[in-house]
Amino acid sequence: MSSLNSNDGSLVEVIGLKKYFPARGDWFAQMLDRRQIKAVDGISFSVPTGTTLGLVGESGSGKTTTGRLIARLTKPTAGQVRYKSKDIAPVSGRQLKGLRRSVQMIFQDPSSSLNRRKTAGQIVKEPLRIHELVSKQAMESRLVELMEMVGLSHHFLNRYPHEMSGGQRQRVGIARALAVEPEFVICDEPVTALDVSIQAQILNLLMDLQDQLDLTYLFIAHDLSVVKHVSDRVAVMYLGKIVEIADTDALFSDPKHPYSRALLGAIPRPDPRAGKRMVLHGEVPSPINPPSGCRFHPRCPEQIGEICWQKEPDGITLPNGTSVACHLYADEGR
Amino acid sequence: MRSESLGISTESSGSIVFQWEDMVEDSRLLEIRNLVTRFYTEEGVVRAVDGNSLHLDAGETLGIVGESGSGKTVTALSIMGLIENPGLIESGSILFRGDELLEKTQQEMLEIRGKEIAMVFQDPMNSLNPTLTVGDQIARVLHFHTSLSRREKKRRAIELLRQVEMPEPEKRLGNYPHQLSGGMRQRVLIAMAISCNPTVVILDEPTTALDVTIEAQIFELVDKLKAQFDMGIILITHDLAVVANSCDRVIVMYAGRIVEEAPVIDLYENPLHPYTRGLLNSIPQLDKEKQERLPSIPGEVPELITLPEGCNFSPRCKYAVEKCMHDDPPIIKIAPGRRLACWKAGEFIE
Repeated sequence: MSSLNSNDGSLVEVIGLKKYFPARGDWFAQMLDRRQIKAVDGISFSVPTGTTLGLVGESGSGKTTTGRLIARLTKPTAGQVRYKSKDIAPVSGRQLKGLRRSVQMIFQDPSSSLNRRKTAGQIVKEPLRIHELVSKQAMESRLVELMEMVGLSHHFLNRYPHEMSGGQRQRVGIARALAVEPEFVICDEPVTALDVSIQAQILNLLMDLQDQLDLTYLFIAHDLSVVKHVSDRVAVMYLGKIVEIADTDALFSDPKHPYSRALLGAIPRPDPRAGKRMVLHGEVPSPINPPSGCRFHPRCPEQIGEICWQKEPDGITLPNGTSVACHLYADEGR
Repeated sequence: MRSESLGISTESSGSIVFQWEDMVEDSRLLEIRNLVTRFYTEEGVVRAVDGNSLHLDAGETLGIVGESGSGKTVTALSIMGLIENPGLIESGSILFRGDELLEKTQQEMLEIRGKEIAMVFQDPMNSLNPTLTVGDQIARVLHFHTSLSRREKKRRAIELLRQVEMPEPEKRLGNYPHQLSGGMRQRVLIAMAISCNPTVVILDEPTTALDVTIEAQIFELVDKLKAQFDMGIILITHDLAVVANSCDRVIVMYAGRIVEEAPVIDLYENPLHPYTRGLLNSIPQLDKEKQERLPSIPGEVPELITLPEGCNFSPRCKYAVEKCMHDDPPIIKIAPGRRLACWKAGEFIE
């Protein structure tokens, strides 16, 4: 997926990004077993300022690792993450602290990502204190302001996480992320752990905040309906690779990659007349020893022959702007 | 057609609705009447299931949808006789083929559980014993309910794994749960559930922990098994899309109460309860045009210890009037197969 031309208004640009983890945990086991888990294996994409890129895939696709790499919570094995055209992989110390102000993360499970021993006020105050953004006198009013921004009254400042509902906890998580006035926010499955009636509230809040604060989002989720609702562009990941990147409308009306099609076909519709779901057989193979050629070929219903298991497909940009890594489109490149 | 004379009509959904009175009696597997299950905790009395009635017929899939705390899982545990201290089934009746389950002894329930009524739980990792191989776990169920020999049990276990479409069943027999993927673990649990040909299978969020492509595989399997063994299935889930795809009839629960019941097509084409409507509107839909904002239900699900007065949904309901805040709406039959608990029901039906 090559969009290497920089300075096209992209806030974040990812180029050939890789992250390998050792298959075994401790050093002794690693001596005996040098295999690696290729969690992210050479992906490239860019996120223009003020837009939302949805990142979808099943478990093991590498979407969460991608988010953590961009947030610099973990270092890449190879490749670049460019923030405002500057590679952030080698930064450390003071520079890294500056980056933390610009790039923030909202996590999936608000009950485990908030400190149980701290009140909502203390949780939201911490980043303000670390980055020395607000004077002691102004702190209280800034906290109230942040809480109101996420739809919580100031009474919540003194509550502990267990005294709040899941939706309220996620609002606190959002307030903490936004306290440092970031430009880029990585939302990692932000509504997955919430009840259905609360999900819509949080999605609306995230979209309102994007408008108000001019935020750029990387929105990671396995739920394609949610991703369709919030994203401008969507990247589909499978086993550490991006198989398709397309504008949201294009992806959902005319998915190109066989995996994207299967994923869309497998989603249940809230409509009893929608007809049977498409069933993709088999399971996601191990990322330690991914299949040769195209990683999807063992499960692919549209295989065209030898080339699929012999040659890894390159990203091809189609006339409608969709970029797809599949041999089906070898002759259609722009 | 002969089916005409029997009074069987085939609906557009493809499901067969029996209208012959005697047949209804015969095919009724479960009948729950006014079930009240409460938990006496230190913080107060949790009214988990608050006077609900429902039934299940052979060959149908009944969906029970609701959010956390709606009482859907406690309903299932009550049927299974698995309510433990501080929980208590206070009143009501659970008839299994006309037989009162609430009067059974522990020993009698042990016979029924697994053999007549089986349940598949949400998290396959926690419902399998990590120290036993797949083969041993299936053999344990068979040992309990059948008198098969060792060799027969092994053969039956392989046969069951084949039925649930486990890849390489002979090899998987010797695997431990941690060596299997989430989807395979769920297949093992389903194999255990159907091992004694139960008449009722309760699936409690069977695919919540699984990826969507694996979820589609599991539901394809469940449909196949249902047709093969003529079981009645209760599917408990929070996912309205899953219900639309795999159920014949749906019950919507909110804060311990059934608020609406309808055949699946009717529920989605003409939802009546304001909660059902709110839920259906609030989920982002793939086939709809992108909306700027999702219509959301304001507020939060109430605590079951401090339920509001009147209708449980009234504090969040945009149609609520004075009466809703004070009087509990009873659930009433409004059409064949449709029940509704809402004071404003009359207005919605017109």
